[in-house]
Amino acid sequence: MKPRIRDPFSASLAIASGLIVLLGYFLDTPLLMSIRQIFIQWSIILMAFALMIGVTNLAIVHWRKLTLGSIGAMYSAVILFSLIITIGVVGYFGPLSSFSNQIYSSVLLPIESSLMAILTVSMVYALARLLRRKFNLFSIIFLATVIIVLAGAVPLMGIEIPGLHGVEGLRSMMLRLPALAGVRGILLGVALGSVAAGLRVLLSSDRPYGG
Amino acid sequence: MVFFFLMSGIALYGNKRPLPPLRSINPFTKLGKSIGISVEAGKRIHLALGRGLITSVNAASSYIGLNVMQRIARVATVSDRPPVATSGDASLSLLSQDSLKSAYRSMGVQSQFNLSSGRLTGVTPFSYAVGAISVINDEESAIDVMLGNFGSEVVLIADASERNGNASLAGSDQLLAQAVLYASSEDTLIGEEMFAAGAYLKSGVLHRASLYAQDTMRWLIILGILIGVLLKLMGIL
Amino acid sequence: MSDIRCPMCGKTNPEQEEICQFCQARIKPLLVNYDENESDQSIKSEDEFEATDSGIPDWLRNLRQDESRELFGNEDQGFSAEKNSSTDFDENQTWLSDLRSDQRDESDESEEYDFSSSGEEGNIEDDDSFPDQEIPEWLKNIRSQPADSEIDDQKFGAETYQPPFVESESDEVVPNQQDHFLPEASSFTSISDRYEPKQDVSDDVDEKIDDEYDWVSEFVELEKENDKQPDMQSFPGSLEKIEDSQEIPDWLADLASYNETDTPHKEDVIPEWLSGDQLINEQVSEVFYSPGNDYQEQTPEWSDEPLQSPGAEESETDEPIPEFFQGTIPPFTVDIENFIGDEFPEWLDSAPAHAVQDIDGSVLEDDARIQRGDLPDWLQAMRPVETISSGHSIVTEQDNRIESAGPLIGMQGALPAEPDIARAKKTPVYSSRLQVSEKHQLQANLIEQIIKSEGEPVAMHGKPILATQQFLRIAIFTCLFLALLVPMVLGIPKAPPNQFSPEAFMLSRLINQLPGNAPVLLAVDYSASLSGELDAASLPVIDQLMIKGANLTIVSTIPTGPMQAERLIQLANQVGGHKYQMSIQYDNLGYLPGGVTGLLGMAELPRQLFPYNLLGELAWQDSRLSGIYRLADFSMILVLTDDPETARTWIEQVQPELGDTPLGFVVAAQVEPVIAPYLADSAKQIQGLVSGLSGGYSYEILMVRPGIASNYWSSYSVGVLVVLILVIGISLFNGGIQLINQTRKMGHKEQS
Repeated sequence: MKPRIRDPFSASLAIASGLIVLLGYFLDTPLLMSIRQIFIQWSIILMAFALMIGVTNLAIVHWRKLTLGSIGAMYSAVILFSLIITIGVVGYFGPLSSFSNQIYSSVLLPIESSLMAILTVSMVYALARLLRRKFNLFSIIFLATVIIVLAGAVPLMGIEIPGLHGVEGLRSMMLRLPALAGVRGILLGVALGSVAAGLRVLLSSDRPYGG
Repeated sequence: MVFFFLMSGIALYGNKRPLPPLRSINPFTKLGKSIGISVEAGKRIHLALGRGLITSVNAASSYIGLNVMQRIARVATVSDRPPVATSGDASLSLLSQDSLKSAYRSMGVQSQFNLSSGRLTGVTPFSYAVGAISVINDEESAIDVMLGNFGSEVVLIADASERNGNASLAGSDQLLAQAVLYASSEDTLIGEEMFAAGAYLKSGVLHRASLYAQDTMRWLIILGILIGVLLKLMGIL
Repeated sequence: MSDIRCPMCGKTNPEQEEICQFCQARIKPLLVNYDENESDQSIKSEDEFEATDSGIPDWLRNLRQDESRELFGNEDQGFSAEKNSSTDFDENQTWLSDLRSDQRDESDESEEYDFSSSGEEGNIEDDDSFPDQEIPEWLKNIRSQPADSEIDDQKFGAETYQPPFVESESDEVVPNQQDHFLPEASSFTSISDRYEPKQDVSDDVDEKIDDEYDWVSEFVELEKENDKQPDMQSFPGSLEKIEDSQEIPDWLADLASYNETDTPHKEDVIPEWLSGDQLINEQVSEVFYSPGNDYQEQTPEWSDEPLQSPGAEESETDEPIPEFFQGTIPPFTVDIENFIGDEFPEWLDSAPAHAVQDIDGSVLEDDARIQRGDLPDWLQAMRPVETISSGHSIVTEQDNRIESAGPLIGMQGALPAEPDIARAKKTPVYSSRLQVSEKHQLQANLIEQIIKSEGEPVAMHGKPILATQQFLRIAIFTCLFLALLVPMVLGIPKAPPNQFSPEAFMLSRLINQLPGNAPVLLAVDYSASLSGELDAASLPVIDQLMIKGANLTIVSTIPTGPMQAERLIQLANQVGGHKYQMSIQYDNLGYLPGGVTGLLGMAELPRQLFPYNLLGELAWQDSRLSGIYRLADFSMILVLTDDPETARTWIEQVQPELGDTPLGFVVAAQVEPVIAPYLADSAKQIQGLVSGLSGGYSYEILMVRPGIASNYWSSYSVGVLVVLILVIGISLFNGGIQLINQTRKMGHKEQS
């Protein structure tokens, strides 16, 4: 494949930017601090523009689905209509207007809450079928932990089970010791993986920017 | 710095001599087979990249998802239905488009690339999940790969994948997502197994070197913790 | 001109060739034209011999021609040396035996003629074994010849003579056993002298009879004396040709009537000179004593005896060579002059007549049997027996077994065949049906069914209206919905108050310590999906801040945060009875993009990042925010979030920049495990925490101001209980099924 001209340029720019910000964490020099702050401001502006581009891309995809008559074109029409209405109302009346609040309170909030309710049912269903899908020791331990934490979260109709509820109960002890330890271990591993991923980007081994 | 030197040294060693073999991770093994079946069946591969910001600490998981997406796209370019990448962040969707484009270009079929292959399905977690569910239901996907920064909303995506009878592979850097995925997904990557995706998909020697560097650093950290505990018990610290 | 076939390689050669062009073997035998009056014997080829042939009766000449033709073959016959020799021997023995039969009496036919014994005695006339017959004069003349012949045995022995099948370069002569049995004309060298050709020979016979062939005339005279008509039917085929062309002499016809009654046995037929070589005897017995073999009847007795070196004057059995055979030319040379004459020699007549048996065991009549001849002692003595005189018969006892079945029936010494093979049986009829095992048949049927099913339409089963999974989902939803709705609507059951939360108390105490109109940064970073929980958890905290008169500055790192913050303030005003207004008591700076980067920037440069509020007004010119240049200038920072990563980001990125500014969190229940370690005394990175609905309910109890959390508490408690029951019940049910299935599988495995 023929190397593109912008490939080494983008790679070098990415590497330089990352190194400067990284050095700014370790070296407290005014120059690095000022450059780091400039980069941060630029990234914030780019993120804002990226959000606008993403919304535009979403609109284009749904418009294409609508025009091609693909499956779910009706829902794409609703999305586009909603987008247009929201942009119009919020843009004209402002984000703090009552109309904007009505759109948020009457449309977005119920939808999101309903999705959360569906999530609750799905999680209960998945938990109930866990043993059907994976019948092993870890599944049994997982299920037992869920039951203990859930039962110890609130008194069961006013009934506090000794040994389960309370500060010194089983739930509190599980949260403080094994759960916390597991969380810290996993977070450490995730942190190491994140460092490795970042270094690969700095070394230009990973090029998520398509170079 | 230690990590950097470790990774670089192992990578240089790996260029000359073969590195020790990796342990078997069942989800990655099944991933290759599922991709092949999907391509042969002429169905789509759906990659959910999550909603992690590239400027946040969650960007690493997003980079892993982008890397896996590139590897899969190179294989799936011959499919009748090209792969689709969904994301919950605008910048991540732009990066996904660029990565897909480079994958098509590397395979010499850049003309087949479509901007709608990498799309932003929602700016909020649940709106993003709903948009991903619509891709699973309406665009005949056969396998759903969920690698990135997810919250509890990933359960909806995994549930939709299961109801459609698709193969699924899920992994997140968030503990909450790992917990719910363990109960709801077919194959789940626990802990930092997601960060080993590049090495198992043979993305390069540096991926494998970074994996060995992670293991080395992990043992060093364990050693440091134990030494700290001993010092604390001895009253030195 | 017709081609002749080489007896060795079988390839055709021109007729005039004497030596084969391919294998250099002699095609035509060397014929010695012996005349007792001649001093030197000349070995002539067949053609030369024929050219000098004079005075030979036509029938004899024709006989010899047939013999030579059969010996050396012609193009039509596909000749082979052994076959020729055997055939030749057959022919010679046939006519010779016929000749003998004419002069032998029937009474003595059962006796076996022992030529050796006659040789020993030296006088056939004195041999009692012979029937009392009149000895022809020619035979007597033969016997009266001096023993010391001028014939050079070395010249005419095995060393000089080479059979046709032997290469000329080789000194080793491998005598053909059958050749030795050939009643060569040399056998009758002296006899032929006594014979004269028959005068009534047909016109086709060559009339040129040389004086050298006086024996032919003698033979003719002998025939006249006997005055016997030979039995033409017993004559061999060659003689039959003669019969067709010319009149058969009487003596020959008399010989044809000679009958042999005795079946020659092996031990009887094989002469002593031949029995010395056991190997040869065995081979001979194989050849000649096999049932059904024509040789059996045709084998002369004299031929069964082992061969001896031609130079040996006496046989191994010390049998003297008869006088009439002494000084004769060596074997394998045919001397036409000494060939048989008109009168059949006495020694031939004296040969005992053996009963000849047919293949089926029946005794042939005299006219049907094939006469057998014996080699005379002198001929036996002259045989080159060096190579074969091992003293052992080549015929073993095992070889004496006569094949009684199969294609080799009658032969002796054949390899024993398996009874099943040798036994004539009907060809087995094999079934044309394919032999398959039961297992293969089952598999074949299975494949056939699969192939058949490919073309058959599969009945589509309709989907049930309610699948199992859908039913379970609906059931779970129904249970949860009722559990949440009934307590909320009916007010029963009433859940008891929650236990005391120390974390919530810490945050409450922190807010109480704030001065009036203190600037508080409020970060609303939770989405609308968890607004139900976080609204209930954060409202009592916001209420307390409002009671304290804190100036709230609202920021958000998610796009819907500003809208969510507005709704929260309105709700707090509604629930708590407050009247907080924009740009008066609080400022909403809006959405901050960039995530962690944005927080870093806001922590260092808040004024640059938020110059305006959501109303578009300058945010930092107000007196409430005039002293704020950094986040650390705020009196308190309160973060409302449902994402553990956001909480960690605030703690890890912003908290180091805060200094002494307290940091408090109101989080969803799912975030508590992540940030609880930061609340510990050792870390002290956060100073207060309200977690979920239970934390909000505890905070309301502390504030003694019931709110949304108090309304949700009963439903929440019942809902948690119902979830527990559902999870435990369904898990136990599924676990039991799986356990049973696994037990069954293990049982099947053990059985198999």
